[in-house]
Amino acid sequence: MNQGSSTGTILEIRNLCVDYLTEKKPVRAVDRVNLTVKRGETLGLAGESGCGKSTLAFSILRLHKPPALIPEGEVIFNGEDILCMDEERLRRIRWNDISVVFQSAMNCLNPVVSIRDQMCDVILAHRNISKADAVAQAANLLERVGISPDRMNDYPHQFSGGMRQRVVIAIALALDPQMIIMDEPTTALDVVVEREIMAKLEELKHQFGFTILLITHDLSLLGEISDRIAIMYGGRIVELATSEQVILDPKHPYTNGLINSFPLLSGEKKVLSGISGFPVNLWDPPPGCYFAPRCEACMDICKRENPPLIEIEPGRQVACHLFPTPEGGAE
Amino acid sequence: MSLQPIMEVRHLVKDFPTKQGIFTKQYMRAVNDVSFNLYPGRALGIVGESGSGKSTSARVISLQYPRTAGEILFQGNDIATFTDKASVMAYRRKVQMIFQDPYGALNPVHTVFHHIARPLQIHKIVQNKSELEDKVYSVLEKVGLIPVEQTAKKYAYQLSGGQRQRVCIGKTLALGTEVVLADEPTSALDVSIRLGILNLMEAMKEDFNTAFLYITHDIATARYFTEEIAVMYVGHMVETGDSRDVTSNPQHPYTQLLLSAVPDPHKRGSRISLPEVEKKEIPTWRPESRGCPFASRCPHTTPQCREQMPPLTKLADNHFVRCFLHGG
Amino acid sequence: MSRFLESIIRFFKGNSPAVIGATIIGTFVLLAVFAPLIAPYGALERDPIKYKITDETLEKLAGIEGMSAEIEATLAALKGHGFEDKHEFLRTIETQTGTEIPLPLQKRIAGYSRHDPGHEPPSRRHWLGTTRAGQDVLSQLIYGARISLLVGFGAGLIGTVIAVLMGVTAAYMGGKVDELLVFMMNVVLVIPNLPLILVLAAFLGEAGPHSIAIIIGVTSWAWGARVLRSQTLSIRKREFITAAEAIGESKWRIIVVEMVPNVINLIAGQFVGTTLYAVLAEAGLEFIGLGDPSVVTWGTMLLWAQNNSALIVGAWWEMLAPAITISIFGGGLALLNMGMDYVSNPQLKGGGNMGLWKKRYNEIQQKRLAKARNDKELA
Repeated sequence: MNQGSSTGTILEIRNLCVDYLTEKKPVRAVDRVNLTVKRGETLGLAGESGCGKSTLAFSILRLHKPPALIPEGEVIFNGEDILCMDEERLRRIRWNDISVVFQSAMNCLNPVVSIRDQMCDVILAHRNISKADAVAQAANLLERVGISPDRMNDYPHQFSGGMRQRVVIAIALALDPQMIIMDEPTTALDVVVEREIMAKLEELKHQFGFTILLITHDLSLLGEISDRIAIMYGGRIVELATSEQVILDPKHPYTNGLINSFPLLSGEKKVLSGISGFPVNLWDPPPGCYFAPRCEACMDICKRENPPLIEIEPGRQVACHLFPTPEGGAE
Repeated sequence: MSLQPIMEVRHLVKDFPTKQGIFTKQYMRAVNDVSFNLYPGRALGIVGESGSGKSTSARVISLQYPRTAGEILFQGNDIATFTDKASVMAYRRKVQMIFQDPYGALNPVHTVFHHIARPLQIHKIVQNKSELEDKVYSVLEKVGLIPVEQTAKKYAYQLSGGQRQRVCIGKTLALGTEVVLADEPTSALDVSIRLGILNLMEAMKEDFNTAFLYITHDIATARYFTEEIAVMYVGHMVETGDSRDVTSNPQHPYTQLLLSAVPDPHKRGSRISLPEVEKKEIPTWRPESRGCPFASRCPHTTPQCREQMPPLTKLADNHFVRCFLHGG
Repeated sequence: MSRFLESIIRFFKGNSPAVIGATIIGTFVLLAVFAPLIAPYGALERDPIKYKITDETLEKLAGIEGMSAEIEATLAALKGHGFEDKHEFLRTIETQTGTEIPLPLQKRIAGYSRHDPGHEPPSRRHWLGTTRAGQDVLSQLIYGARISLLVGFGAGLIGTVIAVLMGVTAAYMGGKVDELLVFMMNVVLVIPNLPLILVLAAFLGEAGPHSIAIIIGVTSWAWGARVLRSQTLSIRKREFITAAEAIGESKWRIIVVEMVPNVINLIAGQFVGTTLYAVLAEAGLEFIGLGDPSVVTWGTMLLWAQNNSALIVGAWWEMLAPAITISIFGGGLALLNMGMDYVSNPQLKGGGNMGLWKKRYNEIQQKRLAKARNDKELA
């Protein structure tokens, strides 16, 4: 029975589509995404607003509410398709095996409940242990993320933004999950705090060996801490490669444009221009490649046909007509 | 370059009241002894984290908050002397602010045309309706919002973030603003759009000799856009100088910390870990506070640092540091 | 102008509560405006019918001295017809019978045919019956609508204007002005509304509709003012207000041109809500006798119905007609308010899309589970 659970793969997303039902026709926010997450790696998912990265992350745990629908695709976790699971199985996977740190999660802590109670709530919801044991576990978790356990009885507003984010990460780690999905975890934080938190996260990862799916628009951050990076545009993956390859030798014109949108802190000052044009309008997308209207290397075929995501080298995928399918079919 | 500064800020101080008891009143000092100059056609970047006082300084200059102490000179005149309506209006014309959130900066019930036209009408820059239309369209063209007639009819919710920010910049062009205080103008925009806005501002420097105060937490874009950088920490200016110098050869421990924290994919794997310090929290500064603001987080703290405020020391022609490591 | 029409159409599209509500209110407004053309009778016009032959009449007259078969036949034929004048009535009977009728019999016939136009049940001549005084209930409702709507909308307008002035000014000015205005709002809020209205109305004696409108208007604004103040406060913090100040807009223009248009939906909701409250309050005041009983409004109709013991006597139409009318009109206002909520918060509309979504979701899940089972079997 081939279920794709080769040693090394923790999550496999196959042909995933996510639609939003509207009064007119449905809007496709994620379009036939194929992605494999290796056990123990840090996979970065990069793109700008509206590219579908958060939507993709939400669908892994089926967190979508109407009007979102998942008409096609499979999300295989440890051999099982999450999209086929019943409520009970799904509930057990959520947080136990895969947890999520949402965007601005530090603002999602309940302001009238103490940190200790919030953490215990999560622990007790999944483990049949006594309250005292839960409190002890919570104290342990706080220490892990670098917060003194004496602060357990404090309320969220008594912590700074960075500390609240650590609390949220502690909650995400509460049940020793195999994988953590983080959606823009440090966007709202100052760069020094971000550095501290990311360092702490690396430390914890080495200690406990979980996999991280890190979603952000900050390519420089991904370049530093992730093993592989997937670039999304208009709901599609346009490039997937190791961080080094993406940063130093990007193949897709969008990736190239994105890299060139980050001014450097060293080297000669050169004029950068970002990417001209406007983000793709998913209500009325162009036929063919979504990036064509903004692409400097746009060819005729780009306006007609959508380039498939193909493997141009082992471990390297691009969706661009500049890299056509080799003879004999593609991946 | 011996240019005349268009704006001089000297020893600016801004306090805000915190707790108010019956007999006592406590203050927190958001800006402490901050001085800088703005020159036509040049940009000064103020870099700092949240709570550093960078936005507050700009808001004092734009008359949103009254200052507590210090002088602000505009074209040689102290703005405290602008008490009558006419001079305040004239100042408002010349000194404008653009904000971080392009979504909040435009009134959702008004068209783009209204937003550009109002400043022209209030300051009586145009005489009649057809002149108004011409001027509005010409402004929209200058900021790259074409086709101008179509865009003018649109409402804020029909524009993208980058387009809205261009409308805000257009307002300053309509007014003939000479000093633009840009408070994190690109932080809320998509990455690929940011450079378009920065390049537009660069063009304004060249074409209209506009002076910019560019406030940001992103030191990389500050290096890209500004000629000079001032680094602020907890309301104090800790290092100022030429952008290249400050970013490639930082002298203040805080600047060094800041630069080492910025993500840089080229430094993968060779990152030096941040120094362990006793307190990681950023202190709240009060008028009574003593010593160097960075003392609690600095790896080189000495007893002197906790007692006295280090003065600004000149290191080179255009490089100043506020730190006892460099004398004082 | 066309943009205004466009936005009106957009408001009603797919918004059933708004459409129904607006239709109801529109109908009432038309009725009120064109009352003289629509109402079958005058509001205070008494049914002049005094004589009518009924079954009871015939029973009582059967076998009386002087009665003949021809006279009975005539009477039977004339059953149900109404006559205003006694002499005309008797002359008609005589003419139709063809013979003279003796005086005592005439007196008897007239006596037993006496008709009290009051409390006539709904019939073809009076669709909703008559009041105790013989007035057409339907016509009273239509004419009464004029006053009730006037008071309702009038009080709504007064209350809303005060609420807007107080709320928006307090929020924009801040500081001492805000404190003072909030204090005033709190005072008016804390004073129990109904007793206050009662005291004011009693103080004025038999208060006419205008006085009632003013009284309700000046006592009902406080809640709306609070709501508007908090909404305006949140708008005030938005940067476009700071930007407007920075380019030099005058305070007045900022309030009227920049802030108020952003809360116009709240203000509209306020207006409809206050009108609803006013209509009910007015009916209530008049019902307990504090209004001017000589004016015909829905409230005074209730008052008279109560005084005439309509329900006890069995003349349910006199009481129910105004009561149901008030309910329908109030319901129309409430629906319109609901429709406005839908616009401010489109998620409430949910409705149609949810059904479609559920359907699609179930389809997809079925296919998915079927495929999974298939794969399992094959493997």
